Amino acid sequence: MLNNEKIILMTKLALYEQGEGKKNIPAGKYYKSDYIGMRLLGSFVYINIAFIILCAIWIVQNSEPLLKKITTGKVFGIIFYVVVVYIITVVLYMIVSYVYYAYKYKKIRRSLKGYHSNLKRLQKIQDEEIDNMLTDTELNIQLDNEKQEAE
Amino acid sequence: MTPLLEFKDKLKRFYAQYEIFVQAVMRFVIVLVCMLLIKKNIGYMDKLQTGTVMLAVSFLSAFLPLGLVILILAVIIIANIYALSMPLAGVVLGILLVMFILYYRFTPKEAIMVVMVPMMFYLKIPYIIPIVVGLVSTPIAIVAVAFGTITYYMLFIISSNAAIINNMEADSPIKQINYYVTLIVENKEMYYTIAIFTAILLVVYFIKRMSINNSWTTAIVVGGSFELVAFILLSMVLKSQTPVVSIVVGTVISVLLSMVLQFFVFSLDYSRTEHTQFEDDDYYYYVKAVPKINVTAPQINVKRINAQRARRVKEKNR
Repeated sequence: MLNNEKIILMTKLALYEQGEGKKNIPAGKYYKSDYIGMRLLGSFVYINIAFIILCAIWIVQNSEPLLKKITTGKVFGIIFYVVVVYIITVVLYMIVSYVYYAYKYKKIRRSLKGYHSNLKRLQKIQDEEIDNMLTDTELNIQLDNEKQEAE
Repeated sequence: MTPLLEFKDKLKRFYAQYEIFVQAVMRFVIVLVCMLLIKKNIGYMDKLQTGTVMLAVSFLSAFLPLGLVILILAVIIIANIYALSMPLAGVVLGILLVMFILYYRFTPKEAIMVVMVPMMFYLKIPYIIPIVVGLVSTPIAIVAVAFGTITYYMLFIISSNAAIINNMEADSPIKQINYYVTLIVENKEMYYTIAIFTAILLVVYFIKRMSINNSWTTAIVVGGSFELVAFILLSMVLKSQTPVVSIVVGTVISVLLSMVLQFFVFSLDYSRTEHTQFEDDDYYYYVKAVPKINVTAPQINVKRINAQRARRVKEKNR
């Protein structure tokens, strides 16, 4: 027999699993620290790439004054400048990434809460169905017994 | 007003029914317009500008996910620049990558700004950008708008200096990059435009959120008029070659378009009909989930807790 309530629940669950849940369900399996740590590692790689690109453009753009400075022996000044800018950029980017991923993790957890409560409800309905089926069979056995006795 | 509202309702039902096709057609048209604009403005690679290629790309884009479409368009733009000058293509690619890393990585949906903002600039209605983004997004989207604006100026500088860049081919690539990057970095118009866009976006956003009647329409009109004044002033200060008429016409069109969009798109919840399939122990289910459409406006009751308390206190005092 078709159970409407169950179908509605299953539809909701399936829609979530195929939509938003596709990324959220695996992400929700991590601890917060693991999730954020992994993302921050990616962020670190990305910001390094970005920094290298910008640095390359900056070097090409300022090649003449830079060459002059290098020939006059001010190499350390330039390196110091680059390192300071690098540290500031990376720290800022990592802070932004941390805030973003912490927020995202919270959001994922919240959306998973609804999903899990629906799952539980579905489980309950399923259990009830099985119980009913059992009582049905018990009833049938009882009826059969009564019939046999009557005969 | 009634026929308009009826039309809106019909449109909504139509969209709910044929969502997949409507989206595909819209994407096809947008990408085709993009391709035509690329051809007209920076079409340096002849192989990419044939009708077949353009139609094929647009047709394919209609069925691909949005992220991939943006990527394809970016590749086409860079390929065109590459045909003009390899070092410049490298610079543009690098800057686009940096933009992706700094911002679009976190909000992949807004990556569409990289394409849409230059498109609006080329269509002479850039004024629509801060209004629409202010209406539908949050102030953080300023970054997306700014990056889109920078992308436009990168392309615009290439197309307006193509002859000079071409002649520099014999020189070292470093000189070409030097010339190009200087033009971008010292482009005052770009900075002012970004500043104006930022201000207008904030104005539109905050007016939209005010609790006044017709806050959306008010936001559009106020944003549009501020923009008109700001850009006329800017063209006077910079003595740029944009004629005042084009600014006026552009803003008016932008405001009208924003209103059309607001009426038909933003104010509606185009929830989609969804198809899904699953199974349990006894059955396979093939479900079509159709969202309920609310025609009546929700009733809102406002309870003023503070005012009531004040009155009660008064009564007690009596």
